[in-house]
Amino acid sequence: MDSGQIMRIVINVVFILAYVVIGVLVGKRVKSSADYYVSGRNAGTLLISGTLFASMLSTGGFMGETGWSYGGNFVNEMLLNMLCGAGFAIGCLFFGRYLRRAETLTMPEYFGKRFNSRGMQRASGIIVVISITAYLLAVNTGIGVLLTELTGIPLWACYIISWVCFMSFSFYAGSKGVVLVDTIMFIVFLAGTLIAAPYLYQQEGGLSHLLYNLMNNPNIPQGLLDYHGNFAGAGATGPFGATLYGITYGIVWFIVVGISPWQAGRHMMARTEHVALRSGIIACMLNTVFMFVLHSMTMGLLNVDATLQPEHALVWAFNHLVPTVIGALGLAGIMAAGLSSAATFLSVVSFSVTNDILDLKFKDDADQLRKSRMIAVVVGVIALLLSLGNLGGIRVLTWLASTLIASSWCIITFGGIWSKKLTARGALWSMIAGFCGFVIAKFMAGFGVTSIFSGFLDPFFVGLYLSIIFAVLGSSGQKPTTAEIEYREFLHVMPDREIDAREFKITYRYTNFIMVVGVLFIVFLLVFWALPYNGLGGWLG
Amino acid sequence: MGEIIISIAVGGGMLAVGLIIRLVLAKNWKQFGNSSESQEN
Repeated sequence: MDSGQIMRIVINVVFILAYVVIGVLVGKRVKSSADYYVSGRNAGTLLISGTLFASMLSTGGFMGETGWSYGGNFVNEMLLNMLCGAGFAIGCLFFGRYLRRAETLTMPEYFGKRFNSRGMQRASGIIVVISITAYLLAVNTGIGVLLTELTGIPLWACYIISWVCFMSFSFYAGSKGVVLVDTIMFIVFLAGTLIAAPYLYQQEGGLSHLLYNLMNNPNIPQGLLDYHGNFAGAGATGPFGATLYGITYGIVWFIVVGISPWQAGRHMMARTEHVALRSGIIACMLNTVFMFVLHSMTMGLLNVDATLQPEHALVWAFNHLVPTVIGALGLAGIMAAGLSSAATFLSVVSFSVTNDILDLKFKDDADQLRKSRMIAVVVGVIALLLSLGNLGGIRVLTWLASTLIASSWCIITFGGIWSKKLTARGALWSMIAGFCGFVIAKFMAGFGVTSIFSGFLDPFFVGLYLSIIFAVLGSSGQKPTTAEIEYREFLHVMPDREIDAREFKITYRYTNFIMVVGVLFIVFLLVFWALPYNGLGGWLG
Repeated sequence: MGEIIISIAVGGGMLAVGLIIRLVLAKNWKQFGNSSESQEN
């Protein structure tokens, strides 16, 4: 074992121990079920934006997606990230802040209240458990594989190390711990990437010469710098199909971050609606600008070595192209991104089991807190056993992860707020049809039964279309009950505490800021990519 | 020329997010802020 490897192990162990200690300390301050489930509903902008972004970005984002950019689809990724980022803010504007007004502990509980139906709460809770457990296993597999590569420790032991880490602060401290540690992890991976970036750009020939060097590099993948990216990487045969791929997946992720429980659920923890909106705006900018930096520095590695395994290009760069301490910090950042997602997923699953699926009777709030922690341990142990059984590596299971919930919930989330006609029966039918449509189409596509499920016929959209159809069919011939109508009207009344001119002014400043960043980003892309690439001026280096 | 369109779309996405939130909040203020102020008066 060389000194560099020892350094990487030591730095990662220090960070992991720090997360555990912070989690335990925060856990001691958790006094109520509201603290445990929704962080006392008093988290500020930094914490909410940190946890939003950290929960979304995992080892898959740092390794798989950067590998896609390295493989020739940087432009598709840029488009996808912008659309996904917009989901943080727009999702909060049209759903998240209304969800917050409901003051429930989980999203399935909100559905139960909105549609006055225990069946809705339980059914949506079951979908949470199926989909997010699959996602948790996939993320834990990514962390385990990365840890094995870094340390040489057997994979099974890495699963246990990773599990101990994210369990320690998620089961005991609940959302209060997850939100705080997520934010610390967010700072770690942000710092790790941004500190490593100048060193990597320098190795790649300098940031100002990045485009020039790539244009003159005969080894770059075909289409890398074109607006459509690499056809094969997008599973397309022409520019239209490749661009459509980026747009459709961008729309999918726009909806996912806008309504999924591990994303929209964060808004329930915000101190105010304004905090939720500001956090959505920050997460939107990060998902566009920070991801641009991350992906461009990975794409630039083509100037150093164009034969790397794409998914491991960034890890290789942290190990070989930057000073050891900075590389170790970068790797700790990737690890942090994985652990933060895993902790969030575990807490969301255990909350749903306790609050939405099981019919538990609590003597008082302390009893609810105690039982919630016990169930979190049980859920965590099951997740560990599934990881040790290597279920996270099974492709079929990963098909159920992440986008399944958004496909089956999209209509009932937005419809629950904006439709006067959607009834409880329509909502239940819609959710079940979306779930079944997604799963059947995904399995047919995955097993190669047919190739029609792509673009706007992706399994996600199949689920979505069926969800719309069954929402209409289920609601036809009946009207929402008085309780449903009153609850919906209640959600549309902005609480008095939110109506504060100063708060509005601060949020307006955030909107001004993102608009300025948007304009500057247009100019930047035009000057440093679009114009010089087309021979129309700009900066070529 | 597709590169120019993509550049405008990516930055324009952020611009649109800011604009939409501002417009919706302004509408909210008109709806709730004014009534709250008149109640105080």
